[in-house]
Amino acid sequence: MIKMAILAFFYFTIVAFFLSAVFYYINTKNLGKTSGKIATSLAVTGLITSTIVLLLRVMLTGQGPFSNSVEFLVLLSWLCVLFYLLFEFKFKTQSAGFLMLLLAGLLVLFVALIMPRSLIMINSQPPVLKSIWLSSHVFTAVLAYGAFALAAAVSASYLLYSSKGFKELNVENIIYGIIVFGFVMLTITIFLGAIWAEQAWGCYWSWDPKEIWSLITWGIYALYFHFRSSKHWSDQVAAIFAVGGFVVVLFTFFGVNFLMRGLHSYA
Amino acid sequence: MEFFKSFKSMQTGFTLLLLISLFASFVDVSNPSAAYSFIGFYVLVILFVINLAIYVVNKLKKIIQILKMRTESRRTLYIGLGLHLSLFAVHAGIALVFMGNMLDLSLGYNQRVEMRPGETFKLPDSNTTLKLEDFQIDYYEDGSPSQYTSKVLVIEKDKEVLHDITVNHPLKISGSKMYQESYGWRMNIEIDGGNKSKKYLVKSGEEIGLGDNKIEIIRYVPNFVHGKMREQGISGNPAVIYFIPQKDLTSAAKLGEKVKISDNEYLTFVDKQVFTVLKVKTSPGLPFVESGGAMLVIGIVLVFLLMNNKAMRFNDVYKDVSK
Repeated sequence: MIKMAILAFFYFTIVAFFLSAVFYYINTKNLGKTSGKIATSLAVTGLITSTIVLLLRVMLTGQGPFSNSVEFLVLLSWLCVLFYLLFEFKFKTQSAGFLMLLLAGLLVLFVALIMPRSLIMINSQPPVLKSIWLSSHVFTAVLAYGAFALAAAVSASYLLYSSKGFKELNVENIIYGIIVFGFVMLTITIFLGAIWAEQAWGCYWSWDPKEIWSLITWGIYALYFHFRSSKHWSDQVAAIFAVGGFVVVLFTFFGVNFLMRGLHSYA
Repeated sequence: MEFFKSFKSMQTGFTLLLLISLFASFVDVSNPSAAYSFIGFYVLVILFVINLAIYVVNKLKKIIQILKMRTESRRTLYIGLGLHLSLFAVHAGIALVFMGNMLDLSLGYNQRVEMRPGETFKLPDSNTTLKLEDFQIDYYEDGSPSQYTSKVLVIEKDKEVLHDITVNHPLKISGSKMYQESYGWRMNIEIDGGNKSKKYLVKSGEEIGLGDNKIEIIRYVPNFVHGKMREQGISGNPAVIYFIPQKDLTSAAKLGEKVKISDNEYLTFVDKQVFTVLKVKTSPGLPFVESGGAMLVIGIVLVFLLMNNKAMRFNDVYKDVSK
């Protein structure tokens, strides 16, 4: 029963996210109030059903959604939408909605296409994954990825149709604020992961592919803060940096998890 | 002079960090036996640490300069000082983490120790001896392992204390740390060739050579289920899965069961012995890594908090602090 409910709400979430993206797109083309309201309502609906999916999953497994790729992706899509809605309500702009909801939809669609049964499977947690450090490591990683996703969506939207939706907004400052949050979370993620790895394997840093690419991601965003002092810096450059940084984040997750072997292969 | 100027730059620091990451992507730097590659890695890390050290020293000078300053606004002074101290902590923290890592790779002791119950192991550079009393595997209801526990007796002079080492809960004794890394089974095997028989003690994955023939022991399973090669729980139907290449045959045999492997040879898995694998290591660089990591995280949080407080763009602050 609970498994059926998870699947039903999960597929409803996918539809809600994609429909919301479509209405956000219509909204960017024509700035009509109705399509914008429908888009936001659909995003909120998808967020609610996604929350239900996560809660049911926690009930099913008896543990937090922090132990495999499926849980990470569903949690990430949930957080992307949550962060986006907070952004929309705070800055009163829907311009980044299309890309953000499209991304959230693609994340859950990926789960539905590649790992459809994983969402209702109960895999006993291997001993090495039973650690509070791991849960906090994954939780902060989702927060970091969600923030970088939002920064990239806002940036890409700004680059694509800046004149329409970002009037009177200091886009560079907004992107900066979001990346600061993501960067602090990413730093904490790496630190917590090192503590966990030290306890589990006796090695806080093994130079495995995930660790290397996390370091590269961290370096790219650190470079962003340093380049912010350059005289060539502009809103456009900041936006390009945010989009490029997120491409590396995506590779760190998808490329490393699915193409390379290492200590994070189970994730 | 020009070289030094460009070496101490932020661009050089980031280039070195990228090179270190790329190097580590292609070479197993955690393996000191790859000595040639390892030296190249060392050089890059040392250059990176020097680059950071130059920044840290300059920052320290700036902090001392601020401390000597007289200003009417104490708040501005404290925020400015805090910002410089935070940036100092971030860069010094990164340098400490890399230095600690290099210390561990070069001076740290790291060994995998296989022990059967009753066996002992003397810790390096100490009078402490470990004796494995027991090794236990706990299982979930579905048969998958939930925890591995090595019960070890720590013998120091006249004192003997029993400790548990489990996954995620290492034991720290006499400057060494012991981690529950793995476990395995050894099989007592008897090959009966009619008028003579031979006995072997073999681990999973090992082979027994019998003239032109051989038998590979794939694994011991505590509860064998047909069609499933994986471990299915603590009790039920213990069996050994083996492979005979010359017959291209993979099969399973119960303990004590006599298996015909050729016209006049029979194989019997007499019994099994469990062994634990502990990782024993010393980590002389760990205090540097821990303090560096803490400085890095706290420093980064403070940098952004103080910068927000100062209500200025990062580039303005950066221009200010890079003077």
